[in-house]
Amino acid sequence: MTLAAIAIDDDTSGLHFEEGIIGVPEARHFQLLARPDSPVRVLCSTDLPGFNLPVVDPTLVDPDYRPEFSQRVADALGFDETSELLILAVATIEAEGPMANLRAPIVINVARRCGAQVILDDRRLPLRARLVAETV
Amino acid sequence: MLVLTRKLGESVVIGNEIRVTVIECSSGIVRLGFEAPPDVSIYRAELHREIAAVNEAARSAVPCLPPVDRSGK
Repeated sequence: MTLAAIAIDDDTSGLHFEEGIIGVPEARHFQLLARPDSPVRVLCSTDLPGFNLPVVDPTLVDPDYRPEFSQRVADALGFDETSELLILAVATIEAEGPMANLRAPIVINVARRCGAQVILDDRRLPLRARLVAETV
Repeated sequence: MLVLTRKLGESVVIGNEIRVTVIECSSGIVRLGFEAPPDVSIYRAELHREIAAVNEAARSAVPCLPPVDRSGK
């Protein structure tokens, strides 16, 4: 995975994560960068330079991935069933290949430009689900 | 950190809606029962650590990125 050439996403106004990222609560402001020829996008912290988190569309791993969020999460991010949500999975490179974390997705309320990393209750969801090779 | 001593079968109440009960206690292992509203997430602390470790592994895999253009378009 090379990210040498990165184009800035459509909207550069930034994303606010009130509670940061799990393990990195101080990373609260991000830009989502994308490269036209890659499914890997990168959440770049604007307040923690160098904190860049690669993310992918989790439906690349499981086309039926439809995580359910608690009312608490919906209230915190100000969304309801009519809201447009952007759901992303943190991507890692393991010895076996690229993986995506389906247990703790990144959820972004597109209209409000706020997001959170949410731990889902479903224990069957893997922290490292294999991404098919040709998608990365 | 608040530290409370509880006997088998005794509980602790957190807020108005969360109750934690000592179900079993033997040879250094404590089993706890949780009663809480469905929108309250309860998980082992290891899960939180594991997810943080995955995040750390993910960020480490990103090669040097070009500087973010903060000027907008």
